[in-house]
Amino acid sequence: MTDIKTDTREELLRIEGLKKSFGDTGVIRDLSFSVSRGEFLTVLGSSGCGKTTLLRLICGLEEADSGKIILDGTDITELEPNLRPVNTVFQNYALFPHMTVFDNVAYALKLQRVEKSEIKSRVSDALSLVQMSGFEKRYPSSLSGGQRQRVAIARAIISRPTVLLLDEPLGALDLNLRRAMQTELKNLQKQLGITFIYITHDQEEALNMSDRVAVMKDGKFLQIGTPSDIYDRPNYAYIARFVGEANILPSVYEGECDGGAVVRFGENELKVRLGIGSHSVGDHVHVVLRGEKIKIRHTGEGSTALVGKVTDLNFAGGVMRVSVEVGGTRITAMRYGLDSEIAVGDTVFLEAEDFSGIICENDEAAK
Amino acid sequence: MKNQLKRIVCLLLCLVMATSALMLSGCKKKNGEVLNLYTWAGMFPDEVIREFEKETGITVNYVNFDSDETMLQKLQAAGGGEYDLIIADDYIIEVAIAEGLVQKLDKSKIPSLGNVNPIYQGQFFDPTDEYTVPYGAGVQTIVYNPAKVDIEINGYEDLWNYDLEDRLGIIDNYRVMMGMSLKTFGFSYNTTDAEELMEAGAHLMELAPMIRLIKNDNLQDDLLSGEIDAAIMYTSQVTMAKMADPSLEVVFPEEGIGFGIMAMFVPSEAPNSEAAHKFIEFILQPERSAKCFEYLGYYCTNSAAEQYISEEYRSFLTLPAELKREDMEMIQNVDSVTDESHLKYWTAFKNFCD
Amino acid sequence: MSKKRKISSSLGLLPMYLFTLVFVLGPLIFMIALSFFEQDGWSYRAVFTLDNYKNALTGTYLEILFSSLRLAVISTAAVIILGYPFGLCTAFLPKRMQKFIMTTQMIPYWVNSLLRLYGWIIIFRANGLLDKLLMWLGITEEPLRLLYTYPAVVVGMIYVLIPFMFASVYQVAERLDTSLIEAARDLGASPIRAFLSVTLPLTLPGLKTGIIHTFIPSMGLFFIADILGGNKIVLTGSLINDLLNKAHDQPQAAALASVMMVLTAAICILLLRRAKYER
Repeated sequence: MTDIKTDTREELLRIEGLKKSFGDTGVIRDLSFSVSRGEFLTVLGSSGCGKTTLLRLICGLEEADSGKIILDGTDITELEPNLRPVNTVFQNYALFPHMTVFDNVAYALKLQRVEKSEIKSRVSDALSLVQMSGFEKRYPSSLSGGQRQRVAIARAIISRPTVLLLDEPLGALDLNLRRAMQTELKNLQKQLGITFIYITHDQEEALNMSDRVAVMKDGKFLQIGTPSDIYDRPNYAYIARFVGEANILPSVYEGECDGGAVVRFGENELKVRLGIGSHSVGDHVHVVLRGEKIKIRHTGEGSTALVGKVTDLNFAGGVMRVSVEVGGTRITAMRYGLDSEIAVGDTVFLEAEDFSGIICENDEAAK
Repeated sequence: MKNQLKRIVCLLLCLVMATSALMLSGCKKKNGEVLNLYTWAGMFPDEVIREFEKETGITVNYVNFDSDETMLQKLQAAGGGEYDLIIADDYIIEVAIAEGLVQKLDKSKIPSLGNVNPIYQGQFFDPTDEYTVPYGAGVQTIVYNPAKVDIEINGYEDLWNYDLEDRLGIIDNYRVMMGMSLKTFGFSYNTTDAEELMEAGAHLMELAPMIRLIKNDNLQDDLLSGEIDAAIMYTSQVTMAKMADPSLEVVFPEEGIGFGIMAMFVPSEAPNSEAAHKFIEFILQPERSAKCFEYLGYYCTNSAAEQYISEEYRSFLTLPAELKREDMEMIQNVDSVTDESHLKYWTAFKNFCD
Repeated sequence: MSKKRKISSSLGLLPMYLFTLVFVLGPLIFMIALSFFEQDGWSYRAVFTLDNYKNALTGTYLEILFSSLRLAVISTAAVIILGYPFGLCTAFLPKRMQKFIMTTQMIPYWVNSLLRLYGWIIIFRANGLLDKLLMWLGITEEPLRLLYTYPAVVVGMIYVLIPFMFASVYQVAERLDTSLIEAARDLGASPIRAFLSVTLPLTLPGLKTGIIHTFIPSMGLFFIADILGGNKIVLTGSLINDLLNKAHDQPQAAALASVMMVLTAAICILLLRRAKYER
């Protein structure tokens, strides 16, 4: 059921039929996908979906029950973590507290018995890459969260791993720092050309940095695609809800039309895009409509407009979220800028262009 | 409210503890006459104590110490008071007398004094027998298991035999053991001659391979269990060993016998010296005396009691008839320099054993 | 803190200060002074002499000091070899097992250590439990002579001392962040290298504390050498005991005790030098 959209770039990592259970609980259930060389792939999911376990299986800290992990043509499924050309940036950074920043970063090179002079130059290169030059003699305990995170990255990339795994590295940082680091990481990845596999539960992060996003739930990928794929063409209602402001309109399928399908939502007929499923007339379907595609008017002109009462106004920064009740369904539209023209209780008309919405499947079908 | 309650309970507990501590310290005061008897545990059979209490109506407060030094410290602290009758080792009594902590006995109150075996009287710690009455003597003997030991053992020197390698047990008493070595040369136990001590020390070192065990408490158990096959032990331990295994051989060393005496004395400021004298007289009665020595396991110091000692005990609670005073020597206190030498040789010897 | 609170808190500490001064520092100073005096019968003479130290640092007494050190070192080494892995591994076991092991370590300490040593005698002595077991299994035919030997003493020392090492190491190992070990493995370290570069340095403080808690008592546990070694292994502690109670030479005993104290303090200082990052 998963939609494997491979890049035009060559395949670097291939996962086949990966399964892992802890006791009776199945955490990774028959997972298969591949990653291209130089790609920035994000695995997006809520806690407990198995994304951390997936990461640990790839880097070797966990052993799979069955399945294959093939990197650059070599089967590394049985390989010890220290023998895999895969490095990890841990969530809590895991910097060695008893070593200086220099020794932390140089660790992997020292294990490889690289020459002292070479180590020195490579460490200073790595540190300048993450903008931590000059911190060589400091100890992790004297660094801030963001600084530690950068040292952790330097430590992981210095040995030029084939794949870099990042386990929610920005989780502990405050919002502004996080945003800045997102940009830095993306630039770093482009600069180094290393394949990144990034896991997070933050959809903004995922959409912002990645070449492709894989949405994970209950040990399986619901969908892999580019950020716009995930955002604009979510396969499942769950994905739509996860990412961005999604309005789910329970509708009735009426039939196909040019460019998509026609559905009936309440009293309105809407033209929507087809999703991945096939439906028959009379089926109950979910239509996903993004909030920013809805225009709010005070007067109803076309019969296609949805009519409802404003129930809630939510102002968050530069965006106003207007919640409108339309025939029992709550629809949230987005308006930009402070708008004093709309008040709670007003009757408004919601309009969207044809084919703004898309039919999504119920994720129960994914099981 | 909870905190207050806690505080009250705490205070009450403290009060209870304090009062009980006070009460316990005053516990010793009993009604009626008391005899404060201060000596090691197990010196008298219970029935003898009960008999005394019944006959005289005096309650016996039997207080224990486990070393002579402790006794002396306590006596010094009490300034010669607090206790009525003390039984201790000869060498410590010498010190106590010298420090004026012992009163002269009122012999008129002890008519049975004649029962005492004269061989134990007039010794170094009380040459004129004015202060003490002997109660039990320790005589240095060698004990061995004839079933395990093939060589002949007639004296100390016979122990220096590799046949006994790692099979000999001795007590942790440096005067006795150094003394044994001195005796093999015919020197005195109490010599102060540095040369003689050095020879004895060197000879003692040669015994090291034979030593399996150096222990003061219950050495007889190791002989009985087979851990060691020969031993030099305290007299009471010899008694216990013989009683458990009559087949064991007791040897009176031909080089000469060392012995020590335990004696009864009355402290200078004894609260009830009358009761003390009564007790001494009571204990000297022949039949009773025999019972005591059978219980105690030390040599009978009461000649009148010897006939009452049962056959099985006789060989190791009474001296062989041939033994004369000249063959016996007591271990006495020596000056601190000599004592230090003894300790040094003994320490070197122990260190050499492994 | 306001002045009033400062005064009242110092007043609160005053009894403890006085107590320590009188009952700890006082006797210590007295003992050191005593070590420079001469013996006088069963007491001492306040005449200055260095003889006690001369004796203490030469000949037999010096040999005994080395012998005590030797036993302490051997026992400590044995305890490190047995106790460090034990404490370390326990920290990696499931929680319930950890609690179980902690309890079993603690319970013997509710029983007097002297009694427990007598238990070893019952096991070790000729025809004791160990002999009976070995002979029943057919491994030996005659009773082994295990008791009253040097190995018996070392076993006794290990038995009494190992819980201290275990507790110190376990405490530190338990707090060890396992993700550090994972990071090391991930970056290319073999299990042994990960242990040497991460686990060992980070549990070293526990090991050091354990060594102090093992080595220092081991210098003074002469009753173990006496009971299990048949008094044949003379330690400085038993020598001091003899000097005080048999020879009544207080100044000499004080000198020996002072020497031991200085030695112990020196070792403490060496071991307590903390690593930079611990600050």
